[in-house]
Amino acid sequence: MQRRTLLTGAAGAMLLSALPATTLRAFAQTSQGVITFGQSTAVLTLDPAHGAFTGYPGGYEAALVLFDRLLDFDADMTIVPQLAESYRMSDDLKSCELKLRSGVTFHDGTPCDAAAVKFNIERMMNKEINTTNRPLWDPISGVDMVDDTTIVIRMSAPFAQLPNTLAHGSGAIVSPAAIEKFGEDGFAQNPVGAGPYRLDSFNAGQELVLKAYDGYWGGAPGATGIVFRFIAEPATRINALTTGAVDVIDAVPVHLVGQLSGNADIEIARRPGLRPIGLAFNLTRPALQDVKLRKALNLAVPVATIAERVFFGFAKAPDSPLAFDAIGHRTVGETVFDQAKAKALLAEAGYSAGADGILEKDGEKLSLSFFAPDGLFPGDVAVAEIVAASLRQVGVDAAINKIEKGAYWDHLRQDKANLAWDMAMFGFNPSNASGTYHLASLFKSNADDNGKPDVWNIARYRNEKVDALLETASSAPEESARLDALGEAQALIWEDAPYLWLQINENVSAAGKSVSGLGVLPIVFTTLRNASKA
Amino acid sequence: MHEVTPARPARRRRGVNVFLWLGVSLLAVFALLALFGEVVAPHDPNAQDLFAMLEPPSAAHLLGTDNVGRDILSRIIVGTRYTLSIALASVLFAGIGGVALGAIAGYFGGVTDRVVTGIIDLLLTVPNIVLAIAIASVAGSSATGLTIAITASFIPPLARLVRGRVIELAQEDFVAASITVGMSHTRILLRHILPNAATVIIIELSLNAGQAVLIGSALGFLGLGVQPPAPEWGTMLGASREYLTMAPHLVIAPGIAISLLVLAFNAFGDGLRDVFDPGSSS
Repeated sequence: MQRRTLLTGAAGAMLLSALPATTLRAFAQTSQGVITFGQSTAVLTLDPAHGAFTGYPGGYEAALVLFDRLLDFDADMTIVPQLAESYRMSDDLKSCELKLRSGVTFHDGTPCDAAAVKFNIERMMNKEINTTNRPLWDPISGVDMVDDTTIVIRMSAPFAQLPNTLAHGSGAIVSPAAIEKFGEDGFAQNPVGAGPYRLDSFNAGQELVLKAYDGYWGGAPGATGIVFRFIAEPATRINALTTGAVDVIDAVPVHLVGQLSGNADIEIARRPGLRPIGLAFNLTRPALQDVKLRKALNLAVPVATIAERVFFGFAKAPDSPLAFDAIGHRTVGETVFDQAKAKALLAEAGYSAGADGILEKDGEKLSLSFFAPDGLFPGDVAVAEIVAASLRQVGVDAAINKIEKGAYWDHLRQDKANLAWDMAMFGFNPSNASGTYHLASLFKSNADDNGKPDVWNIARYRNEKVDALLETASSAPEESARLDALGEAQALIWEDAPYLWLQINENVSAAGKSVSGLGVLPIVFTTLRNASKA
Repeated sequence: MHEVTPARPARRRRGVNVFLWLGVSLLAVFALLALFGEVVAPHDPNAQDLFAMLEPPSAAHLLGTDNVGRDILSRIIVGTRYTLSIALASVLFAGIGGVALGAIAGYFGGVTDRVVTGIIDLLLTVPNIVLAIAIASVAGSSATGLTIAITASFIPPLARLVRGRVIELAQEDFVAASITVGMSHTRILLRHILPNAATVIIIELSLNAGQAVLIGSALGFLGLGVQPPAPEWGTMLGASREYLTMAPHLVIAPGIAISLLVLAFNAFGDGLRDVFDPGSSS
């Protein structure tokens, strides 16, 4: 047998600690007028249909400058015109007339007129072609062309969120001629839109090069080109930014922001996201059907401190089931940390401490199975550890079950018989920014609580009043009535506490000082649409 | 052809066996920590203080605090138990499985041998860390899962080693003699062949133990280890790599602990070899 050196093992252990280091490519310095964006996710496909823009959110970020949509979200998630100069919803919310901008052309020179828009909407309605984002497109039943610059979109049922759908990334208007030329399969690698930048070269998974489109209806964009480059490792992205190899980076981990904020050449852009993180309670468990218990659990966790300490202030405690920038958000409560009150509530609910300090009721211990993913939500494992330790302080045993992130969604979306968790960490990102869409996805009663949840009501929350309010919120003709109903629904859900509400994280991006106009949208995306480079 | 190694060395090497004593003393320290970790640890390894997180080493926290404000020294001490017991258990089970398979294949030969070696050769083509990851992802995140994964990755090479040694020993005169006097196969294997193969097996296993610590930590690092908040070293390493630039002490402490334990097992194994098999050392 060959003699092994003692150092092999020791060196191996050292190697282990160096595992995250990735190969650093030699980056060329960025050229004048061209913005280089170091993205945390690779751009793989650029077609709003066939699985939409991937990867998420990298593909959408590229799509935001490559394509125009009929409507757009501004920085505050208000809906503003883009290819449509104006729109008018009918009183019954079952049709919408849009007046299109005239003289707009796609990058291939073909006109972006009513016929092209009709082609696009019908393409997105087609379940065979457009497989994702179905809740956004299913309510649409048809499109009528009135003249060259006017179309009417018809819906099968009242659908107040139509403007959100049209402003959503998947509402990108593509060139019908290009679909014809490259085929349904080839378009994703050869995208042609009507946005301010056109395709120059595309190496899927690595680099996407766009250049300014001279014929853009809104005038020349702020940069002569944009290069999207995939840099997976956060530390590498930060190095690339500080050395000037890239101008913009996204997904700066909050514990690394400190490194950048001291640098005078770099500007940080931050924005609370639309995805509130929380722990869904499994309401099919008899113990958790008691609202006193759910409220006590909410009181026992120092959410504001988690936001402040674990996320270095780049997170906030929620004040509603919706995130602050969701359309229709209303402040309906506040997160309170009061373990004495939590204990009092638990006593009121009939729990008393057993021999080992764990609470019990009728001889049954209050032990909760707590599922959390590893690396799916910001700081998920650390937050889970803090929650478990806090609950233990009031006598609740919460055993963490850390699940590999790829397998996590399957555990959440189970039928009742196979639900292994009592509490599970979850966050929903309403990609069309609609609060109604968000609440309906999470809290509208399932058709059958024994089966898999219809959308994401994994908690099996069931409240007829909330169902009725959500119905009003999506179909009342008056916008104010819709918002009132949505506000009331938020208040009811907050009171019922089907979740242990945790934090709302901020999206953090950074840019060199030569770049201005960088935007971070609450829906994760970092947008370069209005960015320019000196 | 090797000589048959006697069960006890004929002559000890002159001088002190440094490796062996280094290994034994380090392992003794780790064993004590594993047994009495909670008593020795200065703090509760799971007690959090969100207002004292990522603190550098200080008098109150000799190795600093981690990302939720827990005392790293206490976690390292208490974590010894996980790492050590996973390593020892997997080596024990791998020993049983590997020796049984190898001995049967080597002694009986023929079809049995071809089937067993065929399977072993197939498994040997898969690097053991890959095999361990595959098994751990099926078995889930738990100490049991880790043990199964590491055990499974050790059995093939060990079985192969034992088979070779058993084939060698089966040619020896004393085996032929045992057969002539009518001893059963089981008795020959257990009483005559395996005791003579014991040194090779023990040395291999003690070296495997070091390897087991590394694989276990690697799996923990990749998120396949024990469940939080258990202070397993590889998991601690994995959880703290994000903080490498702002709080390097989070990574250094478990890194050094892993290195020391691996060093202890390897030194022990090398030392044992020097004792049992002086001819093979350089």
